[in-house]
Amino acid sequence: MLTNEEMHDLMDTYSPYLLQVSFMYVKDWVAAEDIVQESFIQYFKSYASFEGRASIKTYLTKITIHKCTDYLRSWASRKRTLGKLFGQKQSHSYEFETQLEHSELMKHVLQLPLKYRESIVLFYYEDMTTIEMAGLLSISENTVKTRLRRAREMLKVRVETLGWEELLNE
Amino acid sequence: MNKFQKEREKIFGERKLSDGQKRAVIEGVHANEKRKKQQWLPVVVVTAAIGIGSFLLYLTPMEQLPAQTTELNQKFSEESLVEAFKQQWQMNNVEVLYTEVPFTINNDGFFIVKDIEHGGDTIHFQRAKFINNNWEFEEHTVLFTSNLNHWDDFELNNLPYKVGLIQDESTEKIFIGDEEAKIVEAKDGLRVWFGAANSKHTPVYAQSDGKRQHLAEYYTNTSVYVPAIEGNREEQTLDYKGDTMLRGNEEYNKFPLLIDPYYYAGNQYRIGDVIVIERDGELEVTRIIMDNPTEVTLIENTLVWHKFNTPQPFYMHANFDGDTGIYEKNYESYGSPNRDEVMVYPDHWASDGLRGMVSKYDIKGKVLGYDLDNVTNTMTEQELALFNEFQQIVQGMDSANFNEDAIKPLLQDIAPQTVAKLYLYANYLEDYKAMYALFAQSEELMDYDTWIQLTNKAVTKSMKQRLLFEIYAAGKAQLTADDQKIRWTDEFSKEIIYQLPMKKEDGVWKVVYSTVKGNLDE
Repeated sequence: MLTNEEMHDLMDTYSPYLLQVSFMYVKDWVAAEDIVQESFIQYFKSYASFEGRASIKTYLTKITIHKCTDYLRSWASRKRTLGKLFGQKQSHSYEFETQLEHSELMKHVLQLPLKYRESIVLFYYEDMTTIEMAGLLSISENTVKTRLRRAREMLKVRVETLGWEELLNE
Repeated sequence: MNKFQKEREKIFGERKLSDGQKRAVIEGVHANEKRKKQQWLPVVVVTAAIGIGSFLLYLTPMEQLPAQTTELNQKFSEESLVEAFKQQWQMNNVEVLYTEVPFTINNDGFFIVKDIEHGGDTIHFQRAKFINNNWEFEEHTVLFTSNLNHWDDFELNNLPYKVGLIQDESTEKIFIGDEEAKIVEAKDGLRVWFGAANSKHTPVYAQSDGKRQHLAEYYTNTSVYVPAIEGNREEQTLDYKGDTMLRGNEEYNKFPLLIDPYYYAGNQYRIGDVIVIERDGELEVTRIIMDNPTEVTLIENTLVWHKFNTPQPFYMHANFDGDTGIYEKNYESYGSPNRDEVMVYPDHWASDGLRGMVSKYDIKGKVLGYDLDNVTNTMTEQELALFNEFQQIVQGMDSANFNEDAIKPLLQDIAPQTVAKLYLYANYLEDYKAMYALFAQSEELMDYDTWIQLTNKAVTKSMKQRLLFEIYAAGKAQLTADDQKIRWTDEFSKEIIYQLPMKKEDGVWKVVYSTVKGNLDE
């Protein structure tokens, strides 16, 4: 069992990264925070059975992604989406939302359907290789490559103002 | 660091869980540990109690058994059902509105609760089964109190139900088809209603001052197929020949459409509604895809709502989804509708249907479904000829002894869908001899005279309409993988629209007789 201090430190280290991943999936910061908290609880509870075959970061990422997809299928997500659709006021607003609206890339990435968005997030934001992505998502490497190619094509149409190659080579 | 990562760092910085959130996580971990430890004591106590109880039961005279049974059955109660639900969903503060134990079978229960803890804006409908002294949760749906006077389809134990909310004091009753729904009072004038329906297509009416009016669906109708609507009140019929709604099954074209011109006098415009608009002096059937000031953009083969919302309903995506590049680089911003407008988009993206805003004054009504009132036949000429030939052969037979060999040559190599159509058409014409001759041999099948006595001979007008639709649906059906049924499943919503059990006997397809009429059931 980890001590409180160790848990605190692990959350400090990994929560920024996990929050960003989670947000890119669920597109809602409050939901992302809930998901990351739940992911940490699950990890800390199962710490004793964690065999260390993958890095802590990979393990936490996998838990978070599972929870994100569960959330997107759940009534809680449906409730939030409907709330937004029917113009319910959000209880929170964040200063980053304005920056997000004016972003060159992220706002377009967030518009992509989930499986393509996911591919861009893991490949370009998280610097994962296609083999790592295949392992994480439990799909074949070929499927990863196909999704990635399709995601790039979809994104290219949206991001016309920038040279595409230049984005990736910096 | 690439540009994606740089931009993300700029947007989010080092935003992480707050101290309060981290504390909550740590408490969550410890709370669970405590619970685990505390679980030992009850386990020991319960095990000991069961042991002692069994021993005492062994010693107890038989006449005392009923008291023991009652005690054991106490968990199968309305209270334990709600308690189990609260634990399952971690809802400590709920207002119980309705419970029914048992509900559809002898070991299930159904209840409705309002969630007070999370703002009180959701009503939960839940069915559960009591198995091995535990409640196991089955179907669950949620309605939001912010969206009143609408309804949702909800299947309970494979039976179609409808649930909805009303706050309008003038509503006296709710009808699902001709059946009155059960209405349950909640606080602040809110009322919850529910009831069984004949099918998913049964319309819902609210009655005020003795007058009935259609109620809108709660969620937008995402099914592609067009329902055949039962009942006919103040609606109009439109024989539509435009191609704006075609998606591969002659949608909104096959039969005349039932239009309610006054629908929006009492109901809101809703995303997903299929409507009739007037455009350049002609009527056009189309679909509302935006009903509020939200920007809609076409990006490749998807219509995207304001900001990052990629909607799920099928009509927001092109009905052609391949890699041929037809939709590549599509990009068009349609803006957002004004207060007196809605945005429409045809289901058939390759048609000339209007894409954009339409004034509410140009909306001529809501399409409720197919109107089969004046339709008398949904068979092809060849099928009718086959039926006539078949009918003549059967007419000459002795009802006590059907001569299978006489009809075999005619039905040899005829597709199961066609046989199903002959059977349904015989039912439509009330030709029971022809119907019976199409049954496969089975243990359940009784002799003709017994069967004819049990069969309801009166085929009402609405049943006839339904049969015409079923004949049409049987034509769209496919054999299931086990060759036991023909089934038509909606490609997009995966709902079963129609199915009929079939069996092949000596190279001839026949209908399997069943006492339970199955079409929408699994």
